[in-house]
Amino acid sequence: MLRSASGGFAAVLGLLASGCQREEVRVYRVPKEQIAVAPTANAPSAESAPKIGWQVPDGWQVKPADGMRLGSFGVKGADGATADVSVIPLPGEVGSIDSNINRWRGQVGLSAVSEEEAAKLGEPVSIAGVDSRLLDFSGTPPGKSKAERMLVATLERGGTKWFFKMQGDDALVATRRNEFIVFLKSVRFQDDAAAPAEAAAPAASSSWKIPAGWSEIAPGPMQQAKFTAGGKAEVTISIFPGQAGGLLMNVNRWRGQVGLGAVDESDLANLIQQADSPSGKLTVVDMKSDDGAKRLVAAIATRGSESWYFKLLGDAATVEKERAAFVKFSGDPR
Amino acid sequence: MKRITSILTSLRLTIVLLGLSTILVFIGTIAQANYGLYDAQDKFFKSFFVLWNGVPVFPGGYLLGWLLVINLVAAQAKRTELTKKKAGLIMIHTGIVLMLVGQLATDMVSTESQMQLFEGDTKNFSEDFRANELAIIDASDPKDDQVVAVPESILATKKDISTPALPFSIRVKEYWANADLLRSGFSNAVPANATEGFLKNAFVLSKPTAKDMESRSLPAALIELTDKAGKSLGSWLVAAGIRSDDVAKIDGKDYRLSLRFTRHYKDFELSLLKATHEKYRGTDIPKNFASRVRVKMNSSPEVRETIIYMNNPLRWAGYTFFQYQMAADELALRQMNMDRASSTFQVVKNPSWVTPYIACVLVGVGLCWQFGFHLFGFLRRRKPSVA
Repeated sequence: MLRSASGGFAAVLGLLASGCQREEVRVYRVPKEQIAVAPTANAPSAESAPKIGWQVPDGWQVKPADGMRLGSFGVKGADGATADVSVIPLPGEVGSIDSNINRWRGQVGLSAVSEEEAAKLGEPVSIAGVDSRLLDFSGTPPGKSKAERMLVATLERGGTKWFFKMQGDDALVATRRNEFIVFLKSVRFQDDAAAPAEAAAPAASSSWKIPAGWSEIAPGPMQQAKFTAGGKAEVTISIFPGQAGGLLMNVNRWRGQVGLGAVDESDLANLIQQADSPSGKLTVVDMKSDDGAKRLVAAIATRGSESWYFKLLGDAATVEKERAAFVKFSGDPR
Repeated sequence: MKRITSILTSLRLTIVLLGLSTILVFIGTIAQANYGLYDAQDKFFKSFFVLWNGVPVFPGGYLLGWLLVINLVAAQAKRTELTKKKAGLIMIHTGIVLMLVGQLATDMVSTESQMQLFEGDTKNFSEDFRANELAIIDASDPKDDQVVAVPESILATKKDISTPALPFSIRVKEYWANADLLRSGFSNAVPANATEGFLKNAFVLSKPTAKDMESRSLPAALIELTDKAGKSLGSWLVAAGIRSDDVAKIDGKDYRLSLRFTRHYKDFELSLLKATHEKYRGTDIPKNFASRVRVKMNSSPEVRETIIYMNNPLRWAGYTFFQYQMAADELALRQMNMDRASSTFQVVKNPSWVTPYIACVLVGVGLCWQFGFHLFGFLRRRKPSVA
């Protein structure tokens, strides 16, 4: 009885083991993929999908590009706040940006504006080297209780209108606004491969004139590049459109990073120095923590409509040693 | 032999196995924090041994499960006689064995995938939640396509792949389990160095594999195609989640290359006719998700229209279609710039889905039988005898 039962079980075990899906190369024939498209739809087919690339900021979660999206990302903040980023190309006539503005405003519960008012909204932004407008709407969407914010920019290219959109929790989207702008700048189309290297996308590592003793490491959120300098200090580069909060706010932010209290506008002049560099004027600030252990040197350069922020932060002795190389690098980074 | 038999049939072994199972469940559950749900399942439960640096350190779920089954059957075979009195016990134990074997079978042969359809779409395949495959498609036949699908697990071994179905071999030069593709290089993003294709100039930033259930890893691979003499025909970077639609022209024939979510083809096609998304008025609370679908077998003109909604899946040809996600309300459509509603189904194939039901019936009937037998025996004995 026992023997026959054991034999039976060995057979069952063998059967199940063989039924276990072993991974192997499969060769099969399938009917040609025919996805019936409703007459109203203007989704790009996989074959005609435009070739586009971009640089995904750190901390964005890449999601499968399904539906009409060619790019789909999730952004998470504190307390479960989320935002969604999408890149959607729509071929054909989909209306001008102004005609879409009231639709977007409606999505976040804002009232419609006239065409004249709509034309004045937004601020300039560059997508793939092309000037566009970044629209920023916030409000409480119909049927929802929490405020949401929407950043949207469009780009027309070869008969296709591209929609780049970040939408989600109001506060989260507001704090990630610069990341979205950096993302827009990094967008590249395949036929842009020969575009000039000075385009706004972060440059390849080889293009930085890295001083001796520095080595490049992965940049953090909103940073274009990051280096270690002399072992005990780090250099970061961030590029923002416009003034990015202004000099006073940034100086006080840096002071906070070395444990110093805030200053007001009247003290500012005593804290900053101006330096000449091959790329123009540099504004340099230098600060040390009260105990003298930590030191921060920052340099700000204005290039066109952008502000470039260079920061050297670390052990005071190392910063002292690297300061000259840092200032030189800030004036002529690549 | 006698000794082995005595060990296999001992109650002590049952206790030890149950104890080890408890420990395994505890460790496996805690490990989910580090490994994520699916990796922890594979490492602790869907394995014969738990490995640490390649060395087996603890019995895995499959081993404990099988040993429990063998122990239970052997003990029953040794101790239980086929009598009316013991019939209940046999049924209970058979039910438990069936439940264990059914679960093992579910683990080994069941598949879960998803199918997203826009209104008006028809599809005959679903896509895996986790697995990816390199698909090489020869679309030269006007009627159908020949697909060579290489699972990601084979790509990960970076071994050369050849099949009689292709006039070339595939050399996996690089493989990244989860990667972001960049247009420029940071210090730890490496140029893929592909010689052909849409992603020719891309840089690859390797990332840790996705741990939480909401995200999935998006792998990438640099593949080189070589002819029979081993001569390179070019190399392509393929990446899941990116529609590159690269075409390799070899011997005058076009082969489409893509790393895609593993497809599970069906013998039938499913069309989404209408997606309905109702919410309770003034709230975001879903009241009703419903998808009106039409299924049509490939082999017969049989057509069926039905509605899939929450807790009312469609069971068809061995598959169960559950309503999973939906983008059909006006706001969702506007937010996604879509003009058609879409519905996503979770598609489950589990040939042994019926075993837990049979097992429960067996255990239930067995318990009734066993208790009933004792109860009636007791009542019979209690009945005062008439002198």
